[in-house]
Amino acid sequence: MTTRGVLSVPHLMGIEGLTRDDATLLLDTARSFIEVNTRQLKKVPALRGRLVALMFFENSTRTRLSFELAAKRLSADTLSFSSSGSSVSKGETLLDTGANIEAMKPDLVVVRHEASGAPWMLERVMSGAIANAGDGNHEHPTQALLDAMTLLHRWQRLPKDGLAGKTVCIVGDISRSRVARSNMLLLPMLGAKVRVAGPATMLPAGLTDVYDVDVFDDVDEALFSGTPVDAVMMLRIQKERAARAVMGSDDDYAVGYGLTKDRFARVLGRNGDALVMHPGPMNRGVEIDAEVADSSHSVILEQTETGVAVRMAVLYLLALGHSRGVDGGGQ
Amino acid sequence: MTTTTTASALTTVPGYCDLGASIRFPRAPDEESIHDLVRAARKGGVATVVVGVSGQPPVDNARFQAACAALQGKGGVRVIPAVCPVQGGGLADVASIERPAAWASDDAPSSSSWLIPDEVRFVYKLPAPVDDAVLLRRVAETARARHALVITPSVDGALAAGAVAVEGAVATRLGLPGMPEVAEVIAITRILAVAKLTGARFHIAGVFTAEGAALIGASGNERVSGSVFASHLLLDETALLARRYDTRYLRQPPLPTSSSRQALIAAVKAGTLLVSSGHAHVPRRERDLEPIRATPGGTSLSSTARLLRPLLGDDVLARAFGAGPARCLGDAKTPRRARPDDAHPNVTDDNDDDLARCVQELPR
Repeated sequence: MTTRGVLSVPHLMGIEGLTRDDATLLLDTARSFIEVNTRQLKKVPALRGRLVALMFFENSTRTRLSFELAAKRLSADTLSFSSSGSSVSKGETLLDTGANIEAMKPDLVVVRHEASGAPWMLERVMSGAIANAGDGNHEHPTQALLDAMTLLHRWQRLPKDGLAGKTVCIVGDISRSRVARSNMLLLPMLGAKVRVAGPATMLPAGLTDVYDVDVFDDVDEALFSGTPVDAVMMLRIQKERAARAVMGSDDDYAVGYGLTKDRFARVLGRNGDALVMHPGPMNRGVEIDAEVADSSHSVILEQTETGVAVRMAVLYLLALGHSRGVDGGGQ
Repeated sequence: MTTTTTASALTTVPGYCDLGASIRFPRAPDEESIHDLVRAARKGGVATVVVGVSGQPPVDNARFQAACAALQGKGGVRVIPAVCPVQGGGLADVASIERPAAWASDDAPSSSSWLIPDEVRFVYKLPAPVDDAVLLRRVAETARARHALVITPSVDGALAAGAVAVEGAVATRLGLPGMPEVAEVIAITRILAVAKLTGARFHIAGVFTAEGAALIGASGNERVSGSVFASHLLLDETALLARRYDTRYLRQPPLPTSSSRQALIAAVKAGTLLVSSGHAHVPRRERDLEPIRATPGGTSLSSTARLLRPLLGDDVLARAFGAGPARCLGDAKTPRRARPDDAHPNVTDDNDDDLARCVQELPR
């Protein structure tokens, strides 16, 4: 159970493990940082003197920049690590890398890794609070939090009110998406109805045993049956060679599952206020048409903006719960 | 002269027989040696162990056979080195490497009780699934002609590639690559068909699904047997949730679903399946990696019998991990006689046994 102002967990490994109170606290705190980010002086001393290690073992642009900016706006010192050109590229193991970074005594550790479970492994050798910035196909909790924050902000709701009465449809490669997994946990926790849709080859087994979602292998059925959807979240389609085993051509995917201009017009025909989301980076013309991504219904750039505030909230609250504490000022 | 031994803290066991151990050969310094394996067998009351070769670098069959032969009689455990019958996508030159196996017996050639009888002269072991039905048929035909038992994995290699869990809720929740249970159904169906076609003897090791066990039970082919690894009787996939991303719980094949585990236990009790250790030492450097990169496996020879006894009972264990596997080796005609020094007391030291520690550390 969350005590007032403190998370019930020492790390943010995933949405799994968070309580509704935790999620509300994170989102409430993020709201206050959204306000900070609108000031002329966008910096608070909350983490002054604290060291945040940014360990990105996998390529990342927006998540890395977002966490880095979040740490800097909280006045933390940062230690940036990326695997390319590092000892990892020379064969160093994750645990050895973690142990060496630990020797620099970071208070907070932000981890992005291509393997599910990497943050759990680092927990064995690192004593700082860990924020999972995406692990393999498993979870990407800050993305889900920023998605929820964006929706709450757009729909002018408070975190405590949640997303009850709203329907969100997530479309894409659910099987390989950590964004989908975290959202499939967080959005229902906040009261939203969630539908997920994708080709059968991209839907993992046992989805409905784990998540409170409705599953469709026909995107049109997901979008156009039952209650009109309030938001459509398109997932990036991996264009790498491995993905070819589970999909045909890009064109084939765009026709079958992409949010085309025509398909989105039909969505708007049922709900003129429907929103479009994408965690980025987008494949324009594959999973989403440029006209849709750039439309007034798109909140894609707001997601990026909100992400900074959400990550500030994550770092701040994790530091607050960390045994060495923080000075707590600034908010 | 009368010798009195205090045995109050010891258990006398019948001399188990294991078809499921493997070892790397040649080995790196931090990898298990044949002597280590024999020591673990002794601790676990295993009197006969068939040892296959696995891992990298590629196996050196002839030298492995010779090394096992040189070991005979030194550990009090009968070590039967298995021949790898495939190499580079085709048949290996088995004739040149299986000769040492014929005399790789504890006190050969004087005691026939230690020799593999004419019915099963050699043991072939496939270190990885053979999905190619043509190659599998060639292996089977060769085995039939040369009186060999073929020990094979139970899964389809293509469907199993990269998987560390059974496809389903647990794998989805943890974001781990999974294999569908049908990977076993496809492989066992193919093996049964090839066994029927060729008349070869097969032992399907590492059965991990209810349907796989049922297929073997329904086959009616007395020349085909199957076994389940000890780990798969003691643990199921929920251990992956309880010990999140603890790579010691990664097994090959992956730990079964809860329902399959129950079916596997029932199949062993019913006599449909035998038990084997699944013993495969994984050095720490290959285990302390991310789950998708870690090598699955673990040691279990020293604890298999002790851990399974409460689950199966002495009689079932003696049949499934003793007489049954021995029969697969052709020992039915010449049951192995226990000699005084064969009655190994079970003095298992679990400190070096992965399975025992995994079971012990699992939250109740």
